[in-house]
Amino acid sequence: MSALVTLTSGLAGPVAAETVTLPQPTSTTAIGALKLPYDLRILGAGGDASTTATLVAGATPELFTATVKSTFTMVGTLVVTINGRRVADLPARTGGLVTARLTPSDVDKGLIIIGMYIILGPQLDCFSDSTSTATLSKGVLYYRYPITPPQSIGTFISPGLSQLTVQVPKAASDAEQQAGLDAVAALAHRFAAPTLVTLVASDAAPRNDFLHRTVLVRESATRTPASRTSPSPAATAAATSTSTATATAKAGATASATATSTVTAMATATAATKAEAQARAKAAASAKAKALGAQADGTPPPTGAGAGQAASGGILQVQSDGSLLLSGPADALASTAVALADPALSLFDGKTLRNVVGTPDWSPAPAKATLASLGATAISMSGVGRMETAVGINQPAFGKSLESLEIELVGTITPLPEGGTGRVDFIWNGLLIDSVNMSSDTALAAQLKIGSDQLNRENALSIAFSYVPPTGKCTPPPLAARLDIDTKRSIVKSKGGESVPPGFARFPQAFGPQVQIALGEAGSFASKVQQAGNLLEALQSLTPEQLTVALITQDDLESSGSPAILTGAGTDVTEDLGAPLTISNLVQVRDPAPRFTAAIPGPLALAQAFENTTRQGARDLMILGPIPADATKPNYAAALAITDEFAAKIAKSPNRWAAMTGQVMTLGTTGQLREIPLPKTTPPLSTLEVVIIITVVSMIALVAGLFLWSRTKPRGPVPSLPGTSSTK
Amino acid sequence: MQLFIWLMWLGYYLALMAVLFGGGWTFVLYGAGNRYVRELAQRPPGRPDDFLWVFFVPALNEAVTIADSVNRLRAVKAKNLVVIVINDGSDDGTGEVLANIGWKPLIVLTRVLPNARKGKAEALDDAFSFLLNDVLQRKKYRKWQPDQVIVGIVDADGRLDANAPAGISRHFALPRVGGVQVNVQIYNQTSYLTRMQGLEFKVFGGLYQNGRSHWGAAFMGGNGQFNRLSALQSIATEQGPWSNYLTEDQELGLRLLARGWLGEQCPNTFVDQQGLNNLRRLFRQPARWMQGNLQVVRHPDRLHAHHLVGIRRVDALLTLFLPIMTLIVSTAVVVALFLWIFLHIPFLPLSQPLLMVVLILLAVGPVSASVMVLARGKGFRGLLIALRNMPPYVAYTFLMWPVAFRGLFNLMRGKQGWAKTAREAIVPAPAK
Repeated sequence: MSALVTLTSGLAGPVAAETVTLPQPTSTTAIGALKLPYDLRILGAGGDASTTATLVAGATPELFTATVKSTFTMVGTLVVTINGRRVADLPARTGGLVTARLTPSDVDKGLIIIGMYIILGPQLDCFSDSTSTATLSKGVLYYRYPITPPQSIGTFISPGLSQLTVQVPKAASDAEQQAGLDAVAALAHRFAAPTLVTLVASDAAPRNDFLHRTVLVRESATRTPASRTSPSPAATAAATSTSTATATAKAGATASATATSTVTAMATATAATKAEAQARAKAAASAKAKALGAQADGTPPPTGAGAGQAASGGILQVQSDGSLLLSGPADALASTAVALADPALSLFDGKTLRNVVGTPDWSPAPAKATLASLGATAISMSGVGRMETAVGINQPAFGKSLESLEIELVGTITPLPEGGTGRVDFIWNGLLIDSVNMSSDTALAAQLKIGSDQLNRENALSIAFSYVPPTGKCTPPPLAARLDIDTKRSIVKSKGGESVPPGFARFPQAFGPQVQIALGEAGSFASKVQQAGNLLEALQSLTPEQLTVALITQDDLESSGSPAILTGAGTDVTEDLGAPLTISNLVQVRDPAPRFTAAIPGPLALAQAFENTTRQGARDLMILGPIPADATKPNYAAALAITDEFAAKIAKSPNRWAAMTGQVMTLGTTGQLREIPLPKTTPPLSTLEVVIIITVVSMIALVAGLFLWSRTKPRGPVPSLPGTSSTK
Repeated sequence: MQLFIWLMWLGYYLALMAVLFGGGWTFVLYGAGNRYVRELAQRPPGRPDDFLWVFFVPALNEAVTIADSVNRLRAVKAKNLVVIVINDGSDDGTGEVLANIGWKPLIVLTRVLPNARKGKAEALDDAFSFLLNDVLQRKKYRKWQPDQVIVGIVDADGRLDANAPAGISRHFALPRVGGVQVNVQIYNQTSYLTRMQGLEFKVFGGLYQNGRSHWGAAFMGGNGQFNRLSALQSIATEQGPWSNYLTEDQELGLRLLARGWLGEQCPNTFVDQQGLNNLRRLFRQPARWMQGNLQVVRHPDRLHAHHLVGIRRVDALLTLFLPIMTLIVSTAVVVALFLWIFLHIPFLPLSQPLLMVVLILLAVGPVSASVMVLARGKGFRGLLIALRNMPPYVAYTFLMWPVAFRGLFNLMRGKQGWAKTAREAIVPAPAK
């Protein structure tokens, strides 16, 4: 990295060219650059937004740079803040570059909050610039970090890392594969983007540095012994702590999330002070660890038989090279891997934890959930003109596919003064679905029904509040109107079912808590495992719930009726599973009209997400494989490499799984992900529909046939009708 | 494999059609039965003295029951009465029992081997011939015209309602009525099985027969069957009116309908018969009926008659095909159970609750609805009675499904003959 960069800075003063010196590494420290995963965008005259960046433990911030683009037309100032400290003022109409020197005091509990708001000059028209935006993008946070690898579990399991690699042996056992995948899901659940979590099957020495860490998964023959070492006084203090402090377990999700892992960190003699240990233990206790099964010590894991009393958990141990070894008997590995999602692990300063048992953090929103439980902690708007705020209501948060939603919003609004006008618009995914006029009533209630045709995987409910004061002008400043939505009383009722058409958008909600993964026939084991890890990481990024993995065989996948992912998809499986594109010597689109057939254009990676009909009903599948899938073909090796690249690309994409759209995605030698649009076909009738149609038609035909037949008479003379004489 | 799947689908589809059609027809018959009961109430009262009542009582080794049966017939309120007991080669002392009954209207027609024991139909035909050529030639009965002679059949274990002629004559007042079937009741309803047999007959009479009567298409049922002599004559062959079917009564009813006679159910009177407490013996009886039905269904061409048109013909066709539909549905259930147990294909679509409810309704709805005949005319109390009886009756119908296969099996192996239903010890009839 170049030490000197010339930037056009808008920092504290008029726009001018300025040369900014980037921080320099030293013999004991290095410089890291953390790119903001998301752009920061504000809307309208009262726009205000913020985002957080997580700094890895032990790092200190040095510099923040970004670019702000604006569409505002009025004179004013765009203000950029770091943890509330005003670090840049930019012209509202033009935006500009941001360069801010940072100090350790800009970090609060590992978080740096980057904010932006706008101050516009006095205006008569309340609605000018109400739809204008300013966007802060290309944000980079430079920080200094020590070059020594982590020496404790707490510092190893730290947010803000650039990459976490889970490494299983090249000839990994089933238990190691399963634990590797569960570890990926757990770490991806624990650490949101930009931390990248990958899985590799390799026997090579792990790569470890301060920002890129490796978790080694190894199956051992014996169980963890019971602790043989006496905890230090600090550890005892930690274990007896009964703090009720609260903690948030789900990154970026809700405050109601609860860590359900059974890990309890017990500080060892390496804990700096008793006070620190107690503080950490308080937080650990607040994470509501349930079973106190884990023991801490400083000894290496046992390797021999008869090491001690049998226990159900595995071992976590920081190695001398800085990697974290996750080991244990086959039946304990997965549970220990699941525990990696537990926030309490970050608090443990020791090197070894035994009997680590985890349960997945799976507590999806119930069928009747409050807005607050979905992450909308507060919805409040105050001012004149137009104000807007949005709430995300995403299917994965419910842990299943949804067919419809019913949202009951309850709130309070300022009474409308005489002569003023105002209304609240409810906009669902950009579509106005309801509107309420301001009145003398202070109660606000709205019932929004969202049908399957309006429901996507990710959805945004925007609440736009428009208010014009009685004067009709914003100058001089009138009394502001205010709207508050009570997120604890506002209810979201969901109904399970399908709303999203078959394709990548049906995942991860199609899975529920467990993802079935199978490794197919195409490609090496290492390749397929790595692809599965990348896809799982991408999938996990879309849900606030922790996923777990069931590793199954391809045969089980084909005979099962559950949703699943298949990597290394070969030629036959595309035919057997009814994928949209079937691969043989040609690529064929299944049963469209007209039928489409094309020669294979070259080495490709092909991902398909589709609905597969089984005896147990329809289910969603996602398969990834190379084209050609035949090892005898010349392009096979190239196609395998591209398939690896495909999965890696998805995992690294800012949108992760959401980078895949439609039903078929390919990656070729150009390096560009492409969606292959499928010809629109009339969806085939379901079996039930076919049976109903045939039955109804048959019944009509039968009744008509019986009617006609019942009227016919045989040939020949008509015999006299009996009963011509009466006995009366 | 593909062929197997197609066959499965075909079977599934046929079963669905059978259930839908059978179920739908149940509701049609219920409505028609209600109308029939209302119409019947409008008719003038019967005049039993206008008719000569001739009772045929087939008896093969009925020494235990025959005296009781004859004594019941002695109580029947009819001025003009003849009771012909057909002693069909009994060797258990039935003849001696009959000889000791001193009652003028009783005539014993004794058949001896090798002509005896050839089946109920032959015994009845013999009695028919005896009636025409002997009894009606006697001076006392010579005045009676065939239209005025009513031939009733009462099984040896039968206990005919003493007021039966009054109720039945109400139907025969219509000159086109050729046959009347009375309700059959079980008098020893002391166990689940006998109670359910009683309910089965109530459903048969109250739902199916009453519904058919609205169109004059009621079938005959053997015990408690009454026919105008002229009607029997009109369909008689050289052998007689009855033919050698295991369900000769049903076959006779079919020919009467084809000839243009009306068949009606008499809901106001009854004949009591004995229920069976033993499941194995109970299976034998409906298995015989099932086999007889399957024999009759081989000649649907007989329905194509001048005087059997419209809904009467459709109903007769459905009645004939009922055993076939039962077999189809029974087979489908067996196959579904097999697939469930051995191939783990769900027996019910648990993931589709609505569809599951529809299928369950299709499976048990019509049978449950048929029990509603118990509620007819009883208001809310009747509804409660019907609801209480629905679950055990549905269970009973499932219990009786194997008889469909047993009847088919007997037919395929060519088993013939009058498999006489075993009798239980006589118990006093409950007070009416």
